[in-house]
Amino acid sequence: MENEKLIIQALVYGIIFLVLITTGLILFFHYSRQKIVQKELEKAAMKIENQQKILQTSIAIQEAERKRIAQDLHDAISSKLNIVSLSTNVLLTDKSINEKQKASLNQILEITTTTLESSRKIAHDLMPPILDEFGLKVALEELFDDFSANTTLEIEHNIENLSKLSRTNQLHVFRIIQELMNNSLRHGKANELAIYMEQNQTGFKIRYQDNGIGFNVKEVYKKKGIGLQNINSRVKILNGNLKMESTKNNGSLFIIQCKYHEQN
Amino acid sequence: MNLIDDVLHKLSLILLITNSVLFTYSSFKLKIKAIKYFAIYLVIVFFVLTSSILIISFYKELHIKQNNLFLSHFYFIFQFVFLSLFYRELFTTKQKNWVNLTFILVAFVLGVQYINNISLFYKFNLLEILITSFPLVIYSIIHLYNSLGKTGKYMYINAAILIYLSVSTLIFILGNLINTVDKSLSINVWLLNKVLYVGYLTVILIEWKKSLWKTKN
Repeated sequence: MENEKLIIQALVYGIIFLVLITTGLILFFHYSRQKIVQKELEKAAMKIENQQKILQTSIAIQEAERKRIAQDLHDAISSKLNIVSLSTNVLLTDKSINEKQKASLNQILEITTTTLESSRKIAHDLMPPILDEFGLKVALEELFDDFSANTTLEIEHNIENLSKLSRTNQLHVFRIIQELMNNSLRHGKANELAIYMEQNQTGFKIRYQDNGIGFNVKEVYKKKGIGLQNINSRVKILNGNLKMESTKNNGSLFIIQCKYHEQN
Repeated sequence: MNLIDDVLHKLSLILLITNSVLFTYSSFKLKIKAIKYFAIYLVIVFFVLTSSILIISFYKELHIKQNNLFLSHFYFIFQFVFLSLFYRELFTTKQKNWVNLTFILVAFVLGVQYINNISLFYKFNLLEILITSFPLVIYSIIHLYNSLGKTGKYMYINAAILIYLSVSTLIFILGNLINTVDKSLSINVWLLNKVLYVGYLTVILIEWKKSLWKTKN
């Protein structure tokens, strides 16, 4: 009897031991899995962050290159053409030239003037000099005037100057609005726009609304075009977030809310 | 003690019926092979259990002192077959081949053993218990391993099988020994087995609720 009791006792403890071991095994696998999944998530997040960085860098490079080309256009072509135009004018005042030569010179003058005008326009498009000189508010107002003059777009706007923002970041805001306007016009077929920009202590907020044909927000999120990707990257650079609201035939609304970086 | 024993007994029977019905229903509804095999396993276990109850009462009527241990062979062999098939559905091709090989080996060993000694039929066959339960424990660990990188299927069933099977294997292997021990002592072990069995069936029920209940509708 005493022996039997020992056997049963050993068995009961053996069983409990086995239960604990197997439970431990299951828990071990469970937590290992969690760890692995966590690592995978971190990897995916890092990948997205890298892509974001690449995009931001490419935008920065793009802007730098635009600036360089605009500068070159101004320095190398416009100034030389100005000299051509001046010299032609000097030649034209010469009394000894005949009518044929005069006509040729006039033609040269005309071509030079139009070329100068287009190079100025290209440079202007590449890098709005007004932004550098007069700030974001003026540049945007000029952009709106430009759009209103060339299209049937009616623009209602109320822009506060973002004086705390650095020049590069002001350029990003400018490009974002430029891109949004292009989208509204090209894809949305909008004819009315309302743009508000206001700043507060910690940051600024842009509210952009059009009356275009709208789009499916979910689909656009899944398959962003280059334009929207650019906007998104620029918003990220500005330390902000972009909210889109849109339904078919009901226009679209973009709200961008940014916080100033610590160093700004 | 007898009351607890009785309650556990009835509880496990009710849970077994519920699980069998639910899983059979889901297997018809969803047409997932793994669930089909698992449902067959549950139904067979249910029949083995009810027939063991019937046989005991039948012997009691006739006042014959006979045990119902021969039913344990059906229990272990069918459990091995259908749980193997269940895991086979969840495994990769290479692992499936191993399951097939194990099938052949186990069938061969058991065949040879029973031809040699037919009297094994009337008590716990220790080798049989070992070679039909141990592969299942291994399968469940393999399944745990498979689920490391991704979300595993039927993890509750798997955990239940791993815990209950390892414990019940130990109990049944020592079954012949336990049966020689005084009944007032050995009842503790069988009670423990019943508690674990109720837990096992409850976890299976939870699995049904988690992964098959919603898809049902």
